[in-house]
Amino acid sequence: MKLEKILVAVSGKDVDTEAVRLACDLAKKPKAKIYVVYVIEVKRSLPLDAVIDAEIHVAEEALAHAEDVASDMDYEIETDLIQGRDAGPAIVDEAMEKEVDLILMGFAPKKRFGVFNLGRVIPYVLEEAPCRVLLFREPMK
Amino acid sequence: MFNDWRPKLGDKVVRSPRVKLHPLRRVLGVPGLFSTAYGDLGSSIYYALGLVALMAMGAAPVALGIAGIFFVFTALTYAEGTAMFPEAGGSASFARHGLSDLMGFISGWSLMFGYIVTISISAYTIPSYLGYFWEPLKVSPVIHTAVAMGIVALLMLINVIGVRESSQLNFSLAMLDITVQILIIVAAVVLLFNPTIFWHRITGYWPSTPDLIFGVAIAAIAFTGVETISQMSEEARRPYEKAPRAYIWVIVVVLAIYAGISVAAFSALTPPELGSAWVTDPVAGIAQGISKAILQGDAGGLTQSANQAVVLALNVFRSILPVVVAVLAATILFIATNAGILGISRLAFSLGRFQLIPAELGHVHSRFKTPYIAILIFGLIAIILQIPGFFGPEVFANLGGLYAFGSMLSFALAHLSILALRVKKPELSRPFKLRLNIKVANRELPFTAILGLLGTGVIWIVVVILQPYSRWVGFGWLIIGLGIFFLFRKLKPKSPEQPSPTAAGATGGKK
Repeated sequence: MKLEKILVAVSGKDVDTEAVRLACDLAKKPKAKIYVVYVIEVKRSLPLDAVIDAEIHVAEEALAHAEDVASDMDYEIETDLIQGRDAGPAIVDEAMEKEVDLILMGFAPKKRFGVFNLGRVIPYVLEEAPCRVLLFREPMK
Repeated sequence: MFNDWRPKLGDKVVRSPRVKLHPLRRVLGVPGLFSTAYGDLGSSIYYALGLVALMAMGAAPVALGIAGIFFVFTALTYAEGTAMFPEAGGSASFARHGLSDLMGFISGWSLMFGYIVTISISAYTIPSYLGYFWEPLKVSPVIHTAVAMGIVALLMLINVIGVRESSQLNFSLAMLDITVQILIIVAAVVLLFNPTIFWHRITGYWPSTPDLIFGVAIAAIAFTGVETISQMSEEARRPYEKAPRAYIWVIVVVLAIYAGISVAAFSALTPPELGSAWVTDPVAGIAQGISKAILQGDAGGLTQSANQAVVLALNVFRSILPVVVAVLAATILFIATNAGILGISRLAFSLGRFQLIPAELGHVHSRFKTPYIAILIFGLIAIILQIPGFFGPEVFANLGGLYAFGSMLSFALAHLSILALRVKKPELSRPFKLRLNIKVANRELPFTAILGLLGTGVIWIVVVILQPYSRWVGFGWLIIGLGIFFLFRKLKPKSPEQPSPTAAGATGGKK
């Protein structure tokens, strides 16, 4: 499997740590480039380029954490902060523009109304991404 | 922290380059821009027709036609401006670039007024259409107005919380809306159109000249939403190319639909019926007229057809048409009300960013991440404008006049700004440049913008002279706005750097 570029989508949750570690492990042998992105979803009542300090602060922390994790693994990553109306299309767009070979996403299992739920971003990426997608699920608690 | 960084426009904005800045991708294309704009423009069909008939009586199609010509000029002006400045703000943005900050403010403030009135009038029309299912919604002023107010309040709450909106749903509804409108036009023309009766309904109910002029002014309400493409251009892929194309599509479709629906209306109803019993729900009146004609068997002989299948199809069509119109109109108007709330909150944020109004109005809620102050304040004003509805149906005509006051002022300033930009900054890149130019002092001035400025300016003056309600409420709004503007500028002089990186200064969020 060709693996030259990996895109890791982070969301500021604990699972990001393991997702970035896994990306570094996968990237080491083929010396693949790793991009880590955080998408800020902007509500339609605001202009798309609105600066929402609190959201940017959270995103910056998540990306800084990803850099620290990669640094611990002795690997260099590239990070980007993106604003979009929906995270799913933004991640897929980013993957297409960067022509990545793999999108890696972490996922903490959750239930909604007692039913296992993947949310709306993961199903969109699984359905629309032109490249391979790897979903990393945390162990059940 | 982000002082040197400037966001770029597009569906996706790459924020604060951490390693390197990469190009942006834009998601909205011509269909996306068109459907969003048609969502607004198409919704006005559900109330504009009755309002224009109320004023212009038999000359309603003529009034709509004249207003349609100015709509074309205005849309073309917006196409040139939007291609030059693809940013939220529309005419306020053109005026800020072409005239001055003060004119940018007046234009933006007028535009906000237009949005507020759109919220009021769209919500006020919904109960009329739902009256098909429960009559008091239409005939009782108290129930009608209370429900309309409740709709605005509900949407304020939804938008403060920030419920996700499906753009796919908007697109589907716009397409369904066009389909049903075309179906109504075809049905009315095939089943009811009679050139003699049609001509008699125009000439037999011809209004006085002042009423005709005021009818033209009111007909401007038919073209609510001409701003939408401009507002959405920052999310468009290659906006300098797509926005003008979307404007051309909107011009063609809207004019065709309005021409068709006018013919349908005058085929199904007399002008007094349209301007009284069906004033707030004219399309329901057309649907009922079609159903009645089929039931009475006077639909062009088709119901006497020996073909049982045709008779059965006509009967099914007769039964479901009023229900479809009631449900679809209520849904479209609900979405148009919501679009008004979203539009005004985005505009308030944008004006705050350019230091034209206090940025605090665009303050973002720490939990919901929405500009809750703008939503609550402007939503509340929209509700207040509906209060006279408790005392009688005149509120509907007054809201129409108020819309004409706000929108005509902002459209006139858009034309003036485009002309000023041609004089002051002829070297600016114009990806879409209006043709038919007149050369004055070595400057090319677009003929359509000059006519548009004259037309919208005259209509605005007519509204001011003929409608005391619009005059006093409209000028009251402008005076309050100018007071805020000058006080704000005195207390907080404009910084040389603009736009300021944050509207609202802070979000009040976690730090």
